[in-house]
Amino acid sequence: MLRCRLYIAGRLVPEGICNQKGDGVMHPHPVVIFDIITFLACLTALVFLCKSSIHAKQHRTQLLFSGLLVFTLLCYSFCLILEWSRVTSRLDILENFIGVLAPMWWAFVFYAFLKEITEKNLRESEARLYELFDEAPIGYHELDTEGRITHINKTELKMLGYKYEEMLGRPVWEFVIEEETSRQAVIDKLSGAIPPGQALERTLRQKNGNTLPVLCEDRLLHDDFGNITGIRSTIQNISKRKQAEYDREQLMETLASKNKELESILYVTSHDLRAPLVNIQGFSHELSLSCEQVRSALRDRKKSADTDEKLQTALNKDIPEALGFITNSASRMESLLSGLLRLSRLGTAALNIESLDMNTLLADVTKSTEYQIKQAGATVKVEPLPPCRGDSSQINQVFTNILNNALKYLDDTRPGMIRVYAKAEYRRNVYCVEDNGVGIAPDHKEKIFEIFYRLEPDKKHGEGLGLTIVKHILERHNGNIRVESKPGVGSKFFISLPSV
Amino acid sequence: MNKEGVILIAEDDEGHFELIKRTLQRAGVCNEILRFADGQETLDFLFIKGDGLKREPNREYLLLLDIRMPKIDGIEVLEKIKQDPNLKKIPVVMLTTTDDPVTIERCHDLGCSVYIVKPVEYEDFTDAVHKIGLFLSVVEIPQVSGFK
Repeated sequence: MLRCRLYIAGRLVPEGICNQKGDGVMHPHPVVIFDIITFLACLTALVFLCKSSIHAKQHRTQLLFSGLLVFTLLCYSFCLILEWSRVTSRLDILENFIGVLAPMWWAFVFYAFLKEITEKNLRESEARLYELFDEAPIGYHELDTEGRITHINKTELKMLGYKYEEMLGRPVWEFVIEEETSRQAVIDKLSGAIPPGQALERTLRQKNGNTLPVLCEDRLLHDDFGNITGIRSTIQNISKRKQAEYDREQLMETLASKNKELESILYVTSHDLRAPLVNIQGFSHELSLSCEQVRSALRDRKKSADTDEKLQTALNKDIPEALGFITNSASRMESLLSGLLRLSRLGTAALNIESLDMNTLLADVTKSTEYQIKQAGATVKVEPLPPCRGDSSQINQVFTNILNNALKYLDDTRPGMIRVYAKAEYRRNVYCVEDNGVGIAPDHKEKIFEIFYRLEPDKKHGEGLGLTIVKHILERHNGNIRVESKPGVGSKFFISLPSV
Repeated sequence: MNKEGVILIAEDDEGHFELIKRTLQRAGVCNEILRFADGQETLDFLFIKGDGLKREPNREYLLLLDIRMPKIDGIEVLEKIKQDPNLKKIPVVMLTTTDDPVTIERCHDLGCSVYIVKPVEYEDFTDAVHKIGLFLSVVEIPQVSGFK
């Protein structure tokens, strides 16, 4: 027993110290303490082993080790019990056996202790990493060689609204809108045909059917031999960025269209204002030519017989004609400038948006245009209209202009019929002013809203501003206007305005 | 251009037409002059459509074309003329108040013969029209045959 204990204690114990008194009673002896310590060490080793087998996957060697340890402990306890109870003192074979194993167990206790510390640290850092993986602000997933999801973090699950089990094992392209493209790309990446994607924009399909724009970054996973074993991807939600991009595009479009409109106003205005100037200058000169003629005719009065005729022509035809052109051009310029001013004031006038009873409004409009309606011999029929939101005086102007326009372009060959009705759409009301007038050729449909555009300037009065004003007012009301027309049949103007 | 040739003036502004006509006549051009008040009338005449005057086959024509006109504008008229294998032989002089470089380039691309900006100054204007008169006296204009 002594030899064994020497091993167990891990140091040599002088033989003299081991006194076994003759009375046969077991006295406390330092070696006994070593016995107990050794026993406890073995027990600790067993606990460590058991604990590590809970955390780690059970290995066969570890099982074998545990079994052996249990066996040693049992033998050892058996020995101690036997010895202390003094049943026998001849257990040399067993003692020798344990003695050989004991240092190994000591080494193992030390090893297990260190291992436990390392594993604890490892587990902690793993937990931290996992938390980071799961709670990171970007989505992570890993794919196997078949493109199936093997790992996915909570962020990505939350992004798509799926549960872990619902996504695990499914091919990643099943969650991508561009399914076929994505499938081909994943397969090519896994086969090494194309490099992993950097800053790839994809649209993912959420569980509720919505779509989510994301930015993907891929990294290939390799085994020790350099073979591709999968892909690890990060997924970034870029819906806010996309929304901002979309808003920016919308803004750019609006800006571009406004700019174009401004350019066209400038172009048209410069042309239309210049045209009367050409006349004023031209006919002023014609006038001076006529004056010259008059003067020379008067000078040569006695010499020439046709003087009177020349004078007559100049005074009765040329001069009044030139004056006519000059005054007309001047008043045309005046009307163009005042039209421009009206249009510009329209853009700055404050809007008083309120709920509008369209039936009352249309009654006011038809009442104020009663004279024109009677003149045109037309019938205006207003059906019950739903209310909308707008500035009462400006919306009144819209319908007055459209009604005037319809009256102006009625077909003389049939009695004029104008009908106003409405249709409710999603959060909007579309009012329609339908006439049976001359209609508009498809080519002119857009032009009629252009500033100063007139279809028949020789036949109809006007500045060519009515519909331009209508369009401007509606734009400020977040509404719009479009026209459907068949030449010879009639036109329908659709005015869309926000509903109450 | 011989004396039989007809000068077509597509011009919505009557005053401008009068000024052009008078200046041409003072420059010694005594060809027949026809006015069209808009693009539609011009096309109807050239493509022999509608109720108005119609183009006669085998006559010489020259077109002075304004751009901003009601119904169909001058650029569209020019485009349609130049697309037609027969009518494209007609020399087209753009005579307009628009001096926008983009428009000028577009007209040249479409195949106009000359582009003249109507100057506001009277002398410049008559000078420009006078030059058209000179141009008319030297230019050889192909006859335009009728349609099948």
